[in-house]
Formats: sequence, structure tokens, C-alpha cells
Amino acid sequence: MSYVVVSSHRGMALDAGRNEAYARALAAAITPDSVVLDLGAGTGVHGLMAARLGARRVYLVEPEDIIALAEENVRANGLQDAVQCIQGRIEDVTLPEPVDVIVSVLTGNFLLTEDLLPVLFHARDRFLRPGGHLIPSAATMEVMPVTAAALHEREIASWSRPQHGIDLGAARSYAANTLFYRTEGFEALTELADPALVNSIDFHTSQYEPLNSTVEIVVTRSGICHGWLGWFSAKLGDTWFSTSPRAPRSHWSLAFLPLDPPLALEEGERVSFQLTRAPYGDWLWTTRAKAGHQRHSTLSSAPLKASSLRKAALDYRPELSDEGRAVAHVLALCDGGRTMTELAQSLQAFQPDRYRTPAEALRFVQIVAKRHA
Amino acid sequence: MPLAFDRIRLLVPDSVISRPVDGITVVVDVATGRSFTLDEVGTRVWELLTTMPSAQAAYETLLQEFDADPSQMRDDVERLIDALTTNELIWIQAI
Repeated sequence: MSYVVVSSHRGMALDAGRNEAYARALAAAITPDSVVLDLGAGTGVHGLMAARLGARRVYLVEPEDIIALAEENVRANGLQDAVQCIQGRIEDVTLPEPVDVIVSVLTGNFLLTEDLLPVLFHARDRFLRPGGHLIPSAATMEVMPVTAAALHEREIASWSRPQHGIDLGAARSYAANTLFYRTEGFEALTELADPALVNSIDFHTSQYEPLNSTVEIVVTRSGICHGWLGWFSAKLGDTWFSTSPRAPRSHWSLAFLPLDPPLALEEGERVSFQLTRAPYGDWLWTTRAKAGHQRHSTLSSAPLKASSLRKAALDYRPELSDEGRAVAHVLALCDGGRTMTELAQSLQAFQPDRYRTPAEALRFVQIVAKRHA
Repeated sequence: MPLAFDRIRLLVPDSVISRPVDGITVVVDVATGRSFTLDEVGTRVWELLTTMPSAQAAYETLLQEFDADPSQMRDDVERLIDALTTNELIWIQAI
């Protein structure tokens, strides 16, 4: 997800229910002496709330250019004296003082998606005073089996229907190994069991650990199980904010972990569900029921060529591609003495067949420079 | 000490999945993120080791399928088993 464009922040910044829960947690934590870090601040809404509540100092730290909008918001709200905006990754930033509160929204969909929590734990270990507040301070992950015929049909089974006589069915197995995120369309779901807890993390004490959890649920209603719904809840102050299907909708998506083929579950039946994921890795979900045993993993959710796979081998000896040589050429010349135009001219002379016009070379140089220089 | 192929079989942990693509295979422990990529021959060895009732049965099948020196084949299979167990991508079970 790109956090550069404003539209990607609309759902988050204007999520009234979420913001209300954050506001209550901040109000309970902030004192006139408080120093606050809004980590991954985005538009700065939570840091600005802290400043409005009277915090002595608020640091908005955000790596993307959206920080420019946060700066505008600081001025528009007249909070320049209390709020300082800092652009950068928290790993690269040095704050002038420890903080009493870290407020963040680094809980991805189904908590672990995007692997944002290590950023929070890094900031906690470097900047939070002993006894300080984390908002949120903990999170849980839950799952439950559901009947979701329309969702399964749309995302998975539909691949088995030929289009104008063309068989596209090879895609079905990839779809069945995909973890889907949705904010809408869950109204037609039927719950087949009560939610089961698969993970619990105390943000004050945890490190970012692999998840490997097995739960056994008792089916409360017979039906066809098309997959599992997954979601998280975050502890904001003394209350829990849930993104479950039973809670009011928020900007966070529910996760749908499909089964294929769907399994018939009987009321009273015990079903085992195992959820596995290493940090930054793939998801694996295993279902053991009377009707069958299924394993699905996002490792198998996308087509791969052997040439791509070989690059992951430990004994692979990589060589630069033409594009890699172009990147290396440009970076080697980024010594602070050459303009973008000069870099583009050099690149075009280096690879005239690849960059046929000055504009093409300049476009590539701009991409490289934006990312690395 | 060489492995007693006739006294062991190989088990794949629940968290390990393999994905064959165009003859080669990536084996991944989703719980740890550890992965191993097998070439064409390694893929066949993996298939046999993880499905046959003993390492010996897998070894004998490989000897039938490949024109290879038996001691060299044994060394190659042992090395692969060693690499996979080192990365905890298979378990050795006594039989």
C-alpha cells in the first residue's frame, strides 16, 4: 500500500470510530508534562490530538512525503509551538528526549500484514521512558469458520468457469491460496462457530516472533465452511477496539482465508485450525475436520517461474541484469557533483539501445535518485 | 558415521511446504521463513525421501532411475538429508 497519496489516508484519518477510541486513550494518558511520539504519523491526526490535549511536546515521525500535509495540519491548528514534524524512518531518527507516550497505527490488517510492528518495538526500545504508555498497548488475533458462498464463488470458484470457451481454471489453485482482505461484502456470511483466539501480543514486552498457533473450535451451526475469517483487536487505553465482523466497520479489512473445496461441518464437531507465519513471511493455514484436511499457503498464491525461484537458492550466483548495470552506473556517479541532466546524458551514452531518448534516461535517473540518493 | 538408510524415514514438519515449479522445488518452513531450493535431481530425491517408507527405499529407487555410482549416490542423498535437517525442513524418524 502506498502511503504517499492523500487518498490512501482518507479511510484512516477520517475513521471516526477509530479516532474516538484513540482520543479516549490519549486523554487518559496525556498530562501537561507529556512528551509524545506519533509514530508513522501520516496526516498527524493522533499527534495533533495529543497536542490539543495539552502535551508539552509532540514529535510526528513519518518517512513519507505525506509529512508535508501533517505540517500543514500543524499550522492550520495553531499547534506549531508544541509539535515538531520529522521526516524519516524511526530507525534513522534521533529524538532529542525520551517520550512518555508512543501513539501509532502500526497494526496492519489481521495485525501482521505489512509487518509494521517491528517499527513500533524499535521505537519502544529506543525512546519510551520506563513506565511510559503505548497506544495501542496490546493486540489479539481471532478466527472463525464461516459460510461465505458468494465470496468463495467470486474469488475462487469463478475461475473454473470458462470465458468464451477459454479454460482459465489453472488460476483457481492460486486463488485458493490467497489471503483476501475486504472491508465490505461480509453481510452475507454465516458464522459456524464462536471466535477463537490465535495470537496475543503485549506491545510493552514482546519482540516480533513467528506465529504458530493451533486452536480447536466446536462447530455451533452445521453448514458449508468456505473458509475462515480473521481479524485483530487492539487495546487502546483500558478498552479494546475490535475489527471483528461483529463490531462496527472500520478502515481495517477483515481477512478471508479460504478453503477449497469447501468443507461440510456438523454442529458439535471439533475442528482444528493451525495458523503459521514467520515475520515477513508467508501465511499457512491448516484445517482438520471430519470432512477433510486442507493446507493452504500464500507461498502458492502467485505463479512463479523456475528462473525466479532459482534466485532464492543459497548457491545462486547472481549477475547484474541490464537494468542492474544501469542502476549501478547511475549510483556510482551520484557523488553530489553531477546534475540529473548530466547523469541522464551519461546513462544514455552507457546504454544507448536501452535509453533511446534523453527523456527516457532522465526518467530512469529520477526513479533511481528518488529511491537511493 | 553414515546414516543407516534402512532404519530411517523422513518426515516433513507441519509448517513446511514445498512448491515444485518447472522441475525445481522450493521448500519453505513457513514458521521460520527458512527455505531451500532443489534442482531437478534434488526435486526427485525430495519427492522420494518424503513419500517412501524408508530412506533405503528412496535410495534404491534413485539407483534404478539414475545412472550413478551407488556410493556417490549415497553421498549425495546423505548430503541433501544433512542440509535439509540442518535447516529443520525434515525430521528423521527411526523405523
